[in-house]
This record gives sequence, C-alpha cells and structure tokens, in this order.
Amino acid sequence: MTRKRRRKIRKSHEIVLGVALLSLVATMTGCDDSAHRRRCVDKTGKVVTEEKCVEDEARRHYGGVGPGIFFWYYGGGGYGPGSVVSGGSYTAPRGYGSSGGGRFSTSPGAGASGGSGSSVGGSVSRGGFGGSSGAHGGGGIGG
Amino acid sequence: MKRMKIQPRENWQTKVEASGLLYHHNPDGVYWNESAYYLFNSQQIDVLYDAANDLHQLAVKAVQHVIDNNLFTQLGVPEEAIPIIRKSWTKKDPTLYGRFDFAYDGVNPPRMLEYNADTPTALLEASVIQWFWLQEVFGAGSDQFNSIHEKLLESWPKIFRRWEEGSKLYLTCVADSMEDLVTTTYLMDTAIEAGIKAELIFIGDIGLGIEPFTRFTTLDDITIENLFKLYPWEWLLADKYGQYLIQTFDKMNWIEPIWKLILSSKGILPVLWELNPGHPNLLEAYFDGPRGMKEFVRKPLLSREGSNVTVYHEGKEGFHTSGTYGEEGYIYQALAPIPCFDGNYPIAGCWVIGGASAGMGIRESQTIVTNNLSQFVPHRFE
Repeated sequence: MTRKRRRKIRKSHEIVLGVALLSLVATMTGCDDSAHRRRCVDKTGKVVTEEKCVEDEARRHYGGVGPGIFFWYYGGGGYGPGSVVSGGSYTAPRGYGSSGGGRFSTSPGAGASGGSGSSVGGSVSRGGFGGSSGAHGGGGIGG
Repeated sequence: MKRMKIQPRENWQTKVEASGLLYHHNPDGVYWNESAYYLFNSQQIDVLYDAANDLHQLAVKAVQHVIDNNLFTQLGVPEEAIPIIRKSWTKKDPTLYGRFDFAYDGVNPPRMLEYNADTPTALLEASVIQWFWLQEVFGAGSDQFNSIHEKLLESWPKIFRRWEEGSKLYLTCVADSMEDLVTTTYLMDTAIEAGIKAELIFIGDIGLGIEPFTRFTTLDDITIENLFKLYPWEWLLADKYGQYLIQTFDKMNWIEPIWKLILSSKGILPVLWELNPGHPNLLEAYFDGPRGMKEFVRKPLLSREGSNVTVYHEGKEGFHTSGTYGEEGYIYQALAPIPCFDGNYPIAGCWVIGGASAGMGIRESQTIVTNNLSQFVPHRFE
C-alpha cells in the first residue's frame, strides 16, 4: 500500500464567523451561562422538573382553564430540584435562545421568525422531544 | 509527535470567547488548554488523514453488512428504527460529518477507539478556535490538519441539492447545553454561508401536528422538512414523539441520517473487526466477551462521553466510569495503547466531512478514558 501525496490541509481563505454565532457571543459574553439557564418552578418558587412546565403550557394552550401553576424562571440563584429561586426573573432575558431561534411558547406563532413554508393549521403539541436528555443527566450530548 | 509547552496568549479567554468558544472552562477547570500543543510532522498527518478516509470506507461497508445480515439487535438498534434505517440506506441519505477517535503515538498506526458518527461535538474548537490560535501564535506560514470549515461549506450544498428547492433547514439541539448550542449555531452559520436558508429551534420546542397530516413543526407551526439534529437518534426514538418518526419519515430529510445509528453503536467495532481482522487501524473487538484478551475495555453499545466504560488489566477489573448507559448490552475491545505525554493521554479526533477526511482536534485526559471534561489542546504540523 503506497501512500503518496502530501496533505496540505489549510487554507484557501479566511474563516469568517457567521452572524448567528457572533450574535450568540454578544448575547452571552459578560453573562454567566447560568444567568440564562431556565428552570421550572412552582407558585412558591420551588424548582420542579421541567416536564411540569411543559405540561402546564400544553394544558393552557389547549384551552385548560385557570392560570398557570408552573413557570419558567431565568437567572438568579437556586437551580437544584427543591431549591427556591431568587434574584432572577420570570421573563426570559433578551436574546434567550433567539440568536439560535426557538424558545418555549404557549401560543403558536409567537416568537420564531418566519419559515419558508406556511402553517397547515390543526392543533400542535410540544415538548415530546428532549426527554431522553434528562434521562441521561441532562445537558448536551458531549462526545 | 510531541507535546510542547507554551505560554498561553494574553487574554486568551476573551479571544476564544469572541470566536464562539463560550465553554472554555468546564466544572473541572480549563477545557480549552493552550498552555501546550501537539506538534506533528507531515508524514504523521498523512497517516491520520489516510486512516480516517480508509476507516470511513470500511465503516460504510460495515453498515451494508449489518443491514444485509440483519444484525440490528446485536448492535442495540431499537426495533422500530429498522425499517426507516433500511429506507434511509436505500435512498443513500447523505451524511454531513463524523469524528473518529484514534489512539496515536506518532509511530504506530492510529487505532480506532470509536466512530462518533451521529452527534460528534468539539467541532468549533477543532475547526475555528485552534486555527485562529495557530495564526496568531505561529503566523501565516504555519500549518494544521484542518480544513473542516471549508469542507462544511462544500458539503452543505451537495446535501441540500437533493432536497426540495427553496426549502428551509432547521437545526435543533437541547436548550440547556452551551456547547451544543454553540456547535449547532456554528453549523447553522456554515449552512447559511453555503447559501441555505436555516433557522435554529430547540428540541423541546419542536411541535407535533396530527391533523390534517402527521408532521413536526416549528413554533410558527411551519412543517419541518429538513432537520439537522445534534441529538442522538436513539434518544429521538425513545422520546414521546419517537413513535411519529416512522410516519413522518418519508416527508423529511434528516442530518445525520438514521443509518448513522448503526455506526454510532459501539457494536460496529466488533463488526469491523470481524470483517477486517488484523487491520492495522482497528482494535480487536467482540460482542460475546473478551475471548482471552487480558487487557481490554468493556463499552456499552449505546453510550456517550466515555460513560460506563470498564477497563480490565490482566483480566481483572481496573477502573470504570459512571453513567446511565449499558441497558442495551456491551462490547469488548482490546485496550488501546494510548500514549502518555507528561501525564496526559491524548486522543486524536479525526473529522470526516461529506465522507472525506477533513481535520483533527486533540483532547487529552489524565486517564485513558476520554470524557466530556477532557481538555482540548491545539496542534500544528511542520
């Protein structure tokens, strides 16, 4: 097996970083990652599983009566299950997830920038993907 | 191959952050480590380049073998995935990327530890961050095994021309991992630079519509036709919406394609060994036990981040890593001769983009098992 040629691997042109990544950097630089990390809390501010917020959103979205009983909380302190949050906000910080697009929404059409297609109508549920991440300790996929 | 100590740049944190590496530290300390780098000669880079190309070809043949011989269960592939894997393979659904992890000492042939074929990360640091580091520290005349960015730009249009004209690419990841968000955002930027309309949606925000037809949707209820997911196929299948993957499969294009699930299973390692016994870039590996090997590791079929790996010395359990994997079973692989440099064990992560060898990122650990806390160390060659 003869191996001939050399691999000059680089580089015909400069790397130009994209707008989305630079926007993400701008949003996050100077902020602790945790300042943007959300968690689900109950009415007393106690951290509960994210699934409760997802289910609560779905309930309200599909016409469930009464106010929400679980809420997303952003920034501040208190992250572990059962701990009580403080110093943060029930409103997502500006740019939360937006440089990368999505965020949780209780109403279809809220938020995300337009796609190339159009809505076909009919009811839509959310939150059915992502659960396995939590089952493996949450966070990203690493590797 | 040498490990060279070097003074980190002034304000290196700010510099790497500005280029997108917002996770230069992890809970264990520094993740991006520029207090050292690995130096190669060009022959060594050629060896790595060829190994990644050759092994990708062998891996593709191994997928065919698995499909032809119905070995899905042995690889831990969920039963419900089998028909759509077959479809995806028959359609020749294209792949964007993957990363081989090699044990390499610069002298002996690189040995494949595994193929991160479905959800490889450590991409931005390999593609962009270490290149910027090289330019600043060693100047324009220096070289690095790295055409990852260029090959991404080349690959997206080849993939997209198979899809419906004018359709949009959505990219998804979990919302609570900065690394995944950065990686996905970087890939989105490369798609946009390649001329593709693209938008990111967190995986938990993907909607499911049943009427008038089953579909996955954006927050605007736009039907998703093309989806890049930095989220393992086996997790998608296990999630609540997993049952709808089959119904929607014919109307969607996925990156990575679901046939990559075969390659991301560690079960591909014994298959490769069976098909190519004695191959210099492979390690002996078996499904049913160590078969007389005294120095070996037991790995879960489906796992990530070096979790649930047990190392055996002299046939006895040495140490193991914790985790939540292993339910589907294990494989047994000969212990790789990972070199040690100043107490550090480097793994060469060689990228395959669009089916071709594209570059390398090195991660080093203080043990022989690389995990998600292992440090990324840049490299160059001369």
